Amino acid sequence: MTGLAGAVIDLAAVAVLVIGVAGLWRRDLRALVGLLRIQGIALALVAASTAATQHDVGLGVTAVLVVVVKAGVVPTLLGRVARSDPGARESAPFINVPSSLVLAAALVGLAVVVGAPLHALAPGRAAALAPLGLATVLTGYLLLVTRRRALSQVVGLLVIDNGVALMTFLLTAGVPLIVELGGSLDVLLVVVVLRALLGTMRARLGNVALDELRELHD
Amino acid sequence: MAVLLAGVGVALAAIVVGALAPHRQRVLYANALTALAGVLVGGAAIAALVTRTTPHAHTGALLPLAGASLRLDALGASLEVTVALVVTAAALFSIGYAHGASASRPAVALQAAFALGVLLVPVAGDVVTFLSAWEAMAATSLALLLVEHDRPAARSAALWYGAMTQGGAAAITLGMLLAAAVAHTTSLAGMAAAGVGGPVAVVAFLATVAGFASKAGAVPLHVWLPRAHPEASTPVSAMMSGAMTALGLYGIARVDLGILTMIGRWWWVGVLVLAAASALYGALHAATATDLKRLLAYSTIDAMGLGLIGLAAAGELRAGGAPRAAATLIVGVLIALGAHGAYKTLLFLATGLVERATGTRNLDLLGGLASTMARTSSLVAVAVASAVGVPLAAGFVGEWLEIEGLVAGLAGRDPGGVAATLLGLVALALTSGLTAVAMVKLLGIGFLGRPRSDGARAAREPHGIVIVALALPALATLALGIVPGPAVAVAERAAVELGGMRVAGLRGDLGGIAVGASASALRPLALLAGLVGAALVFRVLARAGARGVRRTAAWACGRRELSARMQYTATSFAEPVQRVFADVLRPDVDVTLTHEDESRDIERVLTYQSSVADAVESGLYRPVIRGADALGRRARALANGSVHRYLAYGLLVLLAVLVVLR
Repeated sequence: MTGLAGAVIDLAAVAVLVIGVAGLWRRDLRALVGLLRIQGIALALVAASTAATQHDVGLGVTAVLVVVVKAGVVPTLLGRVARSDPGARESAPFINVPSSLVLAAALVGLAVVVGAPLHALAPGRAAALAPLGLATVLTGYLLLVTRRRALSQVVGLLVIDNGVALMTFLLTAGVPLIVELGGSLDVLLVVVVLRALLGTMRARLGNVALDELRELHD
Repeated sequence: MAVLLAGVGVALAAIVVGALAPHRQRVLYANALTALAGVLVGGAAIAALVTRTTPHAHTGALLPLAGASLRLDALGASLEVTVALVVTAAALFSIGYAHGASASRPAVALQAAFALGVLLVPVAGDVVTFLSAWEAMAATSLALLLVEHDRPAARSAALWYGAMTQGGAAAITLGMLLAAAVAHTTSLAGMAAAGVGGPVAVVAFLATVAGFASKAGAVPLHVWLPRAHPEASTPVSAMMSGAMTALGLYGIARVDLGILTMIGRWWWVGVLVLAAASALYGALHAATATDLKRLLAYSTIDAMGLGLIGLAAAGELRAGGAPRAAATLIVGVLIALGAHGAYKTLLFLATGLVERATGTRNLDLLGGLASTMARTSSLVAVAVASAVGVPLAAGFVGEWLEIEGLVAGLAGRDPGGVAATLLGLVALALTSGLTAVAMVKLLGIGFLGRPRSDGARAAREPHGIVIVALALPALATLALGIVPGPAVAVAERAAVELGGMRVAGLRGDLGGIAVGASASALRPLALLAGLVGAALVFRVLARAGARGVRRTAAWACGRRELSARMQYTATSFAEPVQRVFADVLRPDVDVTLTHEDESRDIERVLTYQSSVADAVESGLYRPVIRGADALGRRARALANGSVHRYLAYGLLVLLAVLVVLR
């Protein structure tokens, strides 16, 4: 049982990172939202497997919460935004896709190097995977910096959040439920606000390429 | 301790009342509660001094890390009596004075909070409590400056004050935390017992001296003071000047003299030089200022400079092996701070009354108030006597003890020590003279003579509680001046607490003060008795000889025809001083002549304008501000409004932190 759960944790943690990198590769906004949904499920798998090995009911509840919020509500909300503008693509990112994939590889390498001491925090098999969480955070940040579309940036923000969550699951074997609850609600709130904002922006300005909003800065 | 805690509780209640109650009740109850808090805390301090106990209280809650801790030792209690007197007088005054913006909800509540802050600083028992109280005091006083934020001068003053007070607080925090880290305790008493030395102590010394000296208005960190005092409302400037600046010196006594005991004597000589410059600079500007509040602000710099001279000389003397003289000096400084708190509060409050009665604070437009505002004027005279150092007033006692200490410090020292002590003595003497010019100008030009404007002519004396508030510090001034013995006896305990110094033979009792071996003594009560006796004798003799006296009009210097234009103005009175010290003051003098049309030899109008700007401000601070401004303009290119650029900055910083910290 422990062996199976350990393998699931390994696989799911890697999946979280890979999906984050894939977010840099896909330019179709709807596909991006789909990736986010899968990442949420992978994250929930990590939490659920950890809960199973540790027999931690609170962490199990957290896993359910992760599925509901990160694989359910949030992607659905974002999906509606994406569908309202069919065919929308990340037409011209600041850094093109091959270059950003190379950069992502470099960031993952950096995360593994600087994240190595994290293992000392909580000796154990899962903690050795913690650099994956850090790599996911950096990947999400890269997505946030290089994409022009507001929706892609929201996805980048959520990938960062997923990376942080992955790191906490792996390092601390789950934060107290109340903390996770607070964090998830925050993310939900951010998404709801951003969705409303995006709607308003589209109504007023016609398109949602943040790059063109430069003149508002004073 | 219970009384002290009750006082703190009452002060908290005052804040709540000030924030919630409707207008009339707000001003009355909040200030009455603050005054009550002052009385309670002052009573607790006096009780602790009289019973020779050190009450203390500690709670683990309230503040993070170490909890809150209150401790009323002799040094804190000596200062607390002064602070409580100032707070009580200012609060009573506010009851009859506050109106308009200074009676608004935030203003009343903030003033009560400020009072609580200054009351808490001297009783703080550990570093966290001290810093919290200090910050409460600094932040509320800053906010109080902005009560009348629609005036540009107030905003500019708040900007200066904010920069100085927050910079000072940061330096103090750094210094005290360093000292606490070396001493392995955050309790102030524990730190004093442990003693802090080594290179860390030097850094802590420099940081705390800079921070506390900026609060005490020492040159060149004084620039906020002449701006902030005139802009704050009258009771607030009284508290700022009488209590808050004194707490700057308290901090130096508590931390630098009491905790960093192993610091080298030459650091203290450096502070002494700065203090001497500060005292002289303040006194010079006070002598030439014509705005009443500005004059008082500079006179605060001068008085605090004198106090700092005493503390620095005490530090130098103690390190140089003359602890007796050092202890005498510390007692002198404590008494002088008490005297300054009383007379400066009185003068600031009186200035508020004068401004309201005449519509101006400009000395050149005042005059003749002695006949229209008789009670205010006589109370001001008491304060001026104390400030000048006339015997029987409190200021004299402090100055006398400081001089005694410095003179005692000359005997049997090495040449370096003698030179440093002499510097202090000379600065003290010169400053006293210049202070006398400023104060005589204040009383003579402002209150005596003939009115120089319609406003001064129409002035009417206010009645009620504001006069009581003025009389309170006047009584304290006279009491301390006539019976200084008990105060000296309790202040001596504070000097003993500061690093084991002992004043052999500094005896204070009801009859007077005697300083040990040098057999010099001060007996104000005897002096008073002698004066009263002489007056009685004179009176009896005059009456006895009156039978043969014929009454007639004396030669009156042509007094009947004297007009206001024939008397000295504040500007002309100070002109000799301004001329002698022109190189330091750099006055801006402008004379304009207008001639009669038919003849160039007949002058019609002559205007003379003279203004003295702060040379330190224009010479030292302006270039710094210009540089910071230019840097800011250049840095603006970094922020071009692009969201992606800001996000990229974030990512780069994150990566840099990761690489650096790995």
